[in-house]
This record gives sequence, structure tokens and C-alpha cells, in this order.
Amino acid sequence: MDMDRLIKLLVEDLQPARPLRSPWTRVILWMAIGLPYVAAVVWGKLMMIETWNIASDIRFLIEQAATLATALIAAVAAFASVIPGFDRRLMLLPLAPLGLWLATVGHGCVQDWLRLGGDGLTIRPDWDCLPSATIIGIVPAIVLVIMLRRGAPLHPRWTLALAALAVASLANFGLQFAHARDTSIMVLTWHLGAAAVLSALGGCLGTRLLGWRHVASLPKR
Amino acid sequence: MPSGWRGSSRHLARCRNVSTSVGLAGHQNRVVSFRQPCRRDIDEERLDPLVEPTSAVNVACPEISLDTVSPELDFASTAKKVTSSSRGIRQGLFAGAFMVRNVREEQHLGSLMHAAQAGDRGAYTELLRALVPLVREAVRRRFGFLQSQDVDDLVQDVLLALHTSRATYDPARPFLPWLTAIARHRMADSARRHFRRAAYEQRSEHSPGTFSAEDANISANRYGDAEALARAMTKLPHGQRQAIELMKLHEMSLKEAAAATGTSIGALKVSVHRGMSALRKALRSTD
Repeated sequence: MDMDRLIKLLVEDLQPARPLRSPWTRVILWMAIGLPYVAAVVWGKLMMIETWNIASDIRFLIEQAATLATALIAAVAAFASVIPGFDRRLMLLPLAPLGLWLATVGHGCVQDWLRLGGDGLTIRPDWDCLPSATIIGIVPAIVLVIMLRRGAPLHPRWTLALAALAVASLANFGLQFAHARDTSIMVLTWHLGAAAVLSALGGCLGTRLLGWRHVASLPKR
Repeated sequence: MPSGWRGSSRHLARCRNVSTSVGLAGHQNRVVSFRQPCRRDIDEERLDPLVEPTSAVNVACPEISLDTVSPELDFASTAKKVTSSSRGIRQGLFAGAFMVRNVREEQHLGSLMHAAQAGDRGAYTELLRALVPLVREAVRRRFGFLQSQDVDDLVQDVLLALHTSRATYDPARPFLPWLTAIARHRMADSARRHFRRAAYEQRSEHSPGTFSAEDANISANRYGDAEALARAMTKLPHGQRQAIELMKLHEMSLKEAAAATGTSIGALKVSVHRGMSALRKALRSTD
């Protein structure tokens, strides 16, 4: 296509575009939707929690804080990655809370093994959780993808992998209230494992969901 | 420090994150002066983790001026020559590869982009027109082996990407690093496409024949003598010459040529057929 023609088409297509807010602000917006939704889904379980038991379980509190921090930081990194000129080191930032989460769960595994012996490291299938995990994650995932599509897909695979990690972490944060008494090996396998699988899946689907398709859809050449 | 720098090393040291020479490509012997220290700009840059400070001259010394005529700062070369010990300031090989005359021009581009975000079509037109030569030059410098058509395709890709991601530009930040990031990714995508395509191509000295008969594999006849063809064309009757010119040289369709000459499609077909036969005969006789 002729350059002048392209410029003319782009100018005709121009609509006012409000500059994106900072990644932190966008994460707060996302959390403002995601957290109440997660709370609403697990509301029944939340009501059954014995608050004094939870408050005295420091490891559980640290684990939950690390899970929520992973969701928060991964979402920040995902939002930052769609802004041209961002610092790529931000994409490594979620490793810190993820490491803390992993360390807490690992510590729990050791404690369970010392307490229960071999039974503390038994992995049981827990497919009953899958529907509730899907329901918890679906709305935050859709909202996050819609918000990310407003940005520039510079690293679509990384962006969606980070987004998947954020959603999986947020869903785990909610699910943990329903599985507070699960052994750590179950959390490691089904919760952290699911987060890893979802992130890998997000990485694979990145170019499909966040590619420059909207560029190709414009009249061109 | 290159010779010709006016401004003491202490002055340069005040730009504390820039530890060594700042060169101006092709202008090493020109006299350059700093008008004000640039601590503030560097600190702002360091505080902002999202900004990839690519145009190093812009980051380090926003008030550079050349005392001589026609100064064009080559940001790509300059960025390579700037080294930095700062955490926030990094250099990139392709970073800041756009040539602008001075910092004000970059600010002007930024203000045009800001106006375009508000829906100002005039500003957007001016911005896109200003960016075309900048991006084209950057693409040429990066992919010198590309044909001009491919360069234009890539420039258009960058403009389309800029258009669709214009909401990601923050008016409070410099414009060129933002544009550089978009252009760099589009060029990387293009390079990946190019090499992916090249991986499936096989170079061959001779095209394999499709048919056993030699003549059947000749897809196009080359004119051996263009002058002879031109002479043969002048000897054709007017109707035949006109029909061949319109349909073979101007590549008009039968319908278009018929409309242009005012004749019927059937008559045009006959004229072309006769004209081509006459040309073949004339060229064969010259061989």
C-alpha cells in the first residue's frame, strides 16, 4: 500500500485514546474486581473458617501472603510488559514471592513428613477441586486478558505466562481457604503444579491471544 | 574525551552517571557545549523503572547544542559510545536509532503524539509524516540488505503498531524510546519471518523443468533487442499499436482498453492478435 494512503487510513481511523494508567494502578483495578469475586465464590468456605485457628497458623498466613503477592507482582509484570520501553527485569520480579511461596510449601512438606511420616507425603487425586478452581479463575482471567489487550503485545508469550501465573495465584489464594487442612504436598502438587501448567499454557497461547492481530485487521496493502 | 569538547571533565562528571565519552557520529571535531548540568534528568530516569533510556544523549544532556551548522545527532552511534555505571541507564545497540535534529524535535514529536491521543487528526498526520523518514532510515540501517519495497512494508508495520498501541504512550515520558521499543519488536518479528521463510527455501542454479519438452518450460520470452522492438512497434498500424500499448504495456483489461479506445472488445482482441503476430514476424526477420 502507498505510504500516503496508509497514513490517510490511519488518520481516518484515529479515535481519542486515553493513555494507559501505570501498571500498579491497573493491578489495583484488576484486584478490585478479582478479589471481591474470589471472596464471593468461596464465601461459604470463608464463613466456616475458624478465625482463631487461622490466625495462629503463621505458616498458613505466610503462605497466603506469598500467594497473594505472587498474584499481585505477576500482574504488575504482565501489565508492564505491554508498555513499550519497559524494563525487562520487571518480568523476573514475580520470582521473589513465588520463591517465598514455594519455600513455605516446601517447609510445610518437611513438617508434614516429620509429623505424619510417609502419609504426610501422599499425593491423592483431588479432581473435585477442578470445577471450583475454574469458576474462581475464569472471571479474573477474562478481565486480565481484556486489560492486557489494550497494551502493545511486545512479548505476548511472557505476558500471558505472567498473567496466567497471576490468575492461578489469585485462584489458589481463594481455594486455600477451602483447603486449609490439606497437606503441603497436595498444595505443592495441585495448586503450585496447576499454576505452573497454566503459566506454560499461557506462554503457548500468548501469540494467539495477544498477537498483533488487530494490526493485520486494519486495511493494509 | 574526544577533542573538541568544550566543557570541563568536572562539568561532565556532574552528569555523574555518564562515565566516559559522549561522541557525535560524524561530528567528532565539532564544538559542542553543554548549557546546563543534567542531574535532574538522570535522576528522573533512574527513578522510573519503566523507561528504557535509549537515546543516551537525551537522557544525559538534554541541552546539547552544536555550534556549527547542520548538526544531526546520530543517536544510534552515540548510544553505543556512552557507557554508564548507573543501574538505570543502559545502552542498546538499536536503542535510540532514530535521527532527530535536537531534543526539541523529540519533544515536538511527543507533543504531536499527545495531541493525537486526544484525537487531533492534524497533529497525527504531521506526526506520521515526520516519522516515516525516521523509521525508514532506522530500518535501512538495521536491515541494509532489504529492498526498498520491503523497507516500506516494515515502515508500514511500525506505523500500524504505533497506531494500535498509541494508548500505551505516556506523555510524561520521552517519545523516542517508546517508538524505538515498538520499532525494535516489529523489526525483530520481521527478521524472524524472513529467516523462517528462508529456512524453507532452497537455492538452485537451474529451475527444474516441468515438462520434458524444452520449449514448454520457457515461461517468458526475453526481448533480445529492445531497439528492434521499438522500431517494429512504430511500423504497426495505429489501431494495433494502440491496442498493444494499452493492453501489454499499460496492462489494461480488455474492458478498460475498449473504453479508452472506443472500440469493441472483439475488435480489440483482433487488433492485439494481429499486432503481436506482426511484431513476432518483424523481430524474427531481424534475428
